Amino acid sequence: MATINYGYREINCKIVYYGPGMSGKTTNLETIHKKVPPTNRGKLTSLATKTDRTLFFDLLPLDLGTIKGFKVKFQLYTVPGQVYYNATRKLVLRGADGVVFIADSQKDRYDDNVESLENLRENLKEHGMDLDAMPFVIGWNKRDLPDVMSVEELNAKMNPRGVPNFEMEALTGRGVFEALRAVTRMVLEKLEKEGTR
Amino acid sequence: MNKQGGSLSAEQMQTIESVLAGYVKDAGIRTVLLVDPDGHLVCQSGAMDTIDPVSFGALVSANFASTQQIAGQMGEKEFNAFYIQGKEKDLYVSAVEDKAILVSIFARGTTVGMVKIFAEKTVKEISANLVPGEGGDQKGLSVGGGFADSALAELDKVLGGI
Repeated sequence: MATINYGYREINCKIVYYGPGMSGKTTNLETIHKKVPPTNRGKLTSLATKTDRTLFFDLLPLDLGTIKGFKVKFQLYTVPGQVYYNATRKLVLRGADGVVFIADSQKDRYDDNVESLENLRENLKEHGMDLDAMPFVIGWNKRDLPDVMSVEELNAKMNPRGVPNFEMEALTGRGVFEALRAVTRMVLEKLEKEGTR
Repeated sequence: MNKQGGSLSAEQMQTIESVLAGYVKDAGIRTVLLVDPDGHLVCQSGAMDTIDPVSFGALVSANFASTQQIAGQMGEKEFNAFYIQGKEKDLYVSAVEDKAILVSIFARGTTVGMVKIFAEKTVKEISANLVPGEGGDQKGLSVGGGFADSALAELDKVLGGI
């Protein structure tokens, strides 16, 4: 959960990028890292295997500057998507203020998307959190590839609540910033309304 | 602040800063960081050298969380601390109950036993200052209306417009 440090006049929030392996979570952070000026971001830290698969997490700190007297900081995390890294996924989810689910739009990845979404729900539950009650957006990634499912079909099958969702091409940035903006808005509005509980 | 997030008052921060500064001096350590269980840096004291405190705090927090999982698999309820030995500098990480993590960095000339003793005392002092509710866990952020809109406007600037 967000922490408010009234001593330092600082607010820290945590957003987690979740989704199946190779869906584009790390690419989202890399694209944001390239776009944001160095004065507003920290180092992109990646705990990856030798083959560049996320082992533990990627982390990108963002600094929005001072707003109404508070320094507002976000930490963007990814989780390892591969099925057998569930213990680490669970650890990274701890204290998340918002989640961006990165789905792979390709037809042959549909089952992986569904499994990962269900896994997200279960892991949040173990932390006493409810996906339906927290800031949550979806990015339908890899829209540029052939043989993708339609967004209408993806929404019908995976997004019955109709949470904000975005067509995405993480490599070019299409949809990446919109998704970040949407989840940030939801996190800040929740914080404004409910505080840190 | 607590294991579910929270807030810290200016008075709490002053006390914690003073406790950490005293710890650095008394134990002869180089750097100390206080990190919350979610990986957010709360406070720091001493020399930062090449350390980026934000990512360092997040990495240590994740490392500490993974040791708790290891403890569970070993049949231990939890690990209260761990020590990592380097060539030039060592790292000692200790839990402030479930409220925060105290990260101590010290040069090889400093005795780890001494660090442990002072860390234990420091953990008790900090823990007494991190009582949930006393820091002002508040219903709603008391910054007036329009906070989210102002923050989003800043995000748009940072992203150079969407």
